[in-house]
Amino acid sequence: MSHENVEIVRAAFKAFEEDDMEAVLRFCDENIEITQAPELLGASPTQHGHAGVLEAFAIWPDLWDDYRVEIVRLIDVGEYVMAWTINRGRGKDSGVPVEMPFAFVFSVRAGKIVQWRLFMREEQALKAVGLEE
Amino acid sequence: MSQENVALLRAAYDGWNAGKGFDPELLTPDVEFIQPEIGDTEYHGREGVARGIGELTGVFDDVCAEPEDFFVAGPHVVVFVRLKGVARGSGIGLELPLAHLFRFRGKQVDLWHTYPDRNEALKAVGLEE
Repeated sequence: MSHENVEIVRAAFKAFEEDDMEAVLRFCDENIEITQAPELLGASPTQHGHAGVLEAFAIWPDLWDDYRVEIVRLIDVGEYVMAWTINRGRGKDSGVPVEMPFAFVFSVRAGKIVQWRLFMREEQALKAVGLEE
Repeated sequence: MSQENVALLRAAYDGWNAGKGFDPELLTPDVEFIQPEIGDTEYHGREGVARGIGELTGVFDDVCAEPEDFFVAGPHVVVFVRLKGVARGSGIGLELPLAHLFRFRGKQVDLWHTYPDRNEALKAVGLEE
């Protein structure tokens, strides 16, 4: 089941990469809860449901041109799936390239992502799932 | 000498945060500047530093670098910095704990390297938290 969960998360990232938001939403539970990285200020710290998924993408990815997410590692950690990613984009006005690491912690239940938490530092994500380096 | 370097850096951060820019006189003419997550990532000379900072402020408004801790290792000073900014045009702020590693040649900096991972900066100068 854990491997299956990893593949669900991988497929959701692929759908995002292909700009297929309908497919992204199909991988998300109707009651999904999203928690933003604590370093992100001025945005609601949590979003809920499919509308919340779209809201979450508008908070950060939509700020940039050519936004892309590269998965560095994707692993199952018991009830969670963790993803270490490099997020790249360009400033909309400046065109300046920006590269940000984000760690994601997902909970998957019955084939759907029910919880999605973002962290800007790997150690925060590890702590969130009870692992410390 | 090392505490003198810390004092020079404190003054440079104060100036930067007051909107005066990072004092170019603190930098050697051949200074190397590395900021891995933004822009061209590697810059050379005082103009390069100005360009690199310009690229940072090109994507973030109200940039502020608050120094939190200073660690001295010979000619190096590692500064734990809290970098704040607002993604341009969004109102979405970002507050990142980073490290700046400075290497002094005399009373000037000839290397300024930003590390997203603070521990990596300490390791780079033989210190570990």
